[in-house]
Amino acid sequence: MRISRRKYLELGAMLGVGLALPMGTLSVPVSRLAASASVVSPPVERFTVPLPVPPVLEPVRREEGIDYYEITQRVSNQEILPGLKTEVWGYEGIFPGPTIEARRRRKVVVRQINELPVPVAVHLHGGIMPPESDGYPTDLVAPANGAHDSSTVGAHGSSMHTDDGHEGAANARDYAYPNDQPAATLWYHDHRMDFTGPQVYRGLAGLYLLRDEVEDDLHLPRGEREVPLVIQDRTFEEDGSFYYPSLDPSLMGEHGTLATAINGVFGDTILVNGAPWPYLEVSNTRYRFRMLNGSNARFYDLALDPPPPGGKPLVQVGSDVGLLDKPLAHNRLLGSPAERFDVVVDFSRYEVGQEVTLKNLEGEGRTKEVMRFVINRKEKEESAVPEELASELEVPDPNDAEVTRRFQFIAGGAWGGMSTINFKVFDPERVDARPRLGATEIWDLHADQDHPIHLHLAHFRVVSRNGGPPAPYDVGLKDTVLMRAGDDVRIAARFDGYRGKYVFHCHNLEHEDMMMMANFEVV
Amino acid sequence: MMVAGRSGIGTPTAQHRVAAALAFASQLAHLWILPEEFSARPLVGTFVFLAAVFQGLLAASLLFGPGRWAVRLGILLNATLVLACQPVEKVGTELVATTNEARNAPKMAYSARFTVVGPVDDIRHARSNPWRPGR
Repeated sequence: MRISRRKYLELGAMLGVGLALPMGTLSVPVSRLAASASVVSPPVERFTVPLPVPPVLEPVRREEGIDYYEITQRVSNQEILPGLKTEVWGYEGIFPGPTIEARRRRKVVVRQINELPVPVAVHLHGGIMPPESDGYPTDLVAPANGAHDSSTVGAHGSSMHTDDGHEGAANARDYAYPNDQPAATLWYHDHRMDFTGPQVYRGLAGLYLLRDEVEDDLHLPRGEREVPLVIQDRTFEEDGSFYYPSLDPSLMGEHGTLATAINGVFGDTILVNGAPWPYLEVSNTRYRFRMLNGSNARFYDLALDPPPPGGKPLVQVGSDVGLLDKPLAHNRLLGSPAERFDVVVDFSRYEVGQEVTLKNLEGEGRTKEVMRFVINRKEKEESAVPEELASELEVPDPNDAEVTRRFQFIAGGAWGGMSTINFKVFDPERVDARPRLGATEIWDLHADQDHPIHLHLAHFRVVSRNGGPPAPYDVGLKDTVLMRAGDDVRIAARFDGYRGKYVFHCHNLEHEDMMMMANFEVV
Repeated sequence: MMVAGRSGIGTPTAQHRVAAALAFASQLAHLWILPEEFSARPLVGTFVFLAAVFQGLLAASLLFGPGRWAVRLGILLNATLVLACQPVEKVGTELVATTNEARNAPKMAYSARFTVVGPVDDIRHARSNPWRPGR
């Protein structure tokens, strides 16, 4: 059979335009996905780096009843992996950010100055504060370089003015925290619409410890024996830079991650206070660890290895937003992103010279271990763990509930992308619940896969889990609840403090960025 | 309308060339969104890829004088995608409201819609979305 020149041309055009061109275009994302799936951090010898402790920030000035702080968010280089420099976006340029220590009923005003190349919003996680200081995702602080359309700043209806009359510069904003709540381990972190995941991953998180007289009187371990543990996971590239699989790494264009991370970004290197698998030398006394799961998506099932004789070494004294009414001893503590566990470990139950590893029973390979404690000396015990802690803890009573609402948390996937609450993606203009100020409500939550669910403003207790009693790790007053795939969890939440619009969302930050968020308005 | 010759291999008319240009433009639009769609959602991306292949083959075929099958298939598939988009999306959404198991239906509808109006919609969305910074 003879094929004409015209037919050759036609076949050539069909092959070229119809197949080669699309195949060539497809090769770009295919190779990007393949590269993303194969990134492995440089090896690090575990338990060789001492545990750093984030510095406590000093106020720039104190006035009657108010402490004023200034935090500049900026790019810096930090040695996280030994011998390599990592570019971090840090509060005061450090990762994790400096710790703010506040007293109950003493107001704090934090001026956040944005010298990063992107807009930011700052949320005090677990704090009860007015909506204009809550870090609503579209209440943005513009970057100093003007790369952001200033018309979107204050889109939540707020302005750059603050309660105390300060007016922020174009790239600054004052956040006012009344601190009218019991002592608790809070934390502050970025909350920018669509980009919270990558911005927290680059370093925008820090602790905010709220103290009060009740806690002071308990004589829990303090000083050097009160240690914050901000547990995070990260993946690093060969040159030491963070690897985050953003669709657009500039964080100024399309949001979201590559498909390889559609259900969360999981790092292969465990950091505690910004150091990889660190060690801490301790005496044979009690230590109080304020543990924060600061990871984007990873759950941790924490346990000490070896356990001490008699077991149950993790004595929990507080949860997300305050002390427990009485201590609760655990062998293991399961925690999802954003949850906090305030735990006392008595190292006198071990021998001096022993090494104890904090393990992650959910981890695989390198992520099985978190850090190590080296009991290297004897010291006098000066602390106690009383039988009663916060005996007047006011937990919401489900019998007081006025309304029962149901929310289903459905993650997107390879098919469609966006994650939803009750099958709706986040819309800043839509309000899905209007609780009355001071009211208690029951919220029935259902998760299609693992989701840590966080309510702004409202504190709650877990009433039931899958029809049964709450799990041991659900104890206390909380702002975030761990949900496993298929879980049905009932919470009783109290909407106290302020009227206005707040959000609730999945704290798997990649789900959050893919719209698993909704508004409630306290009326 | 485009009319093919009796032999099944026609001589391209002006209408064929216009149709080929439109098919090629549609292919380019799909190729433009393909990298991001495939990177974020491989299944949707695969659909976009197949649509781009289809539009490219159609364009080449139209340019060199299409057979009846090419013209009819081109009209049929494009019309199906345009006309089916809204009803499928509506049905899919209603299904989702009643059963978890059907929750992939609107995503498939989304894919179909994407094939035809997606690129245009995406551009419009990017321009009109005031709360998404940097867009």
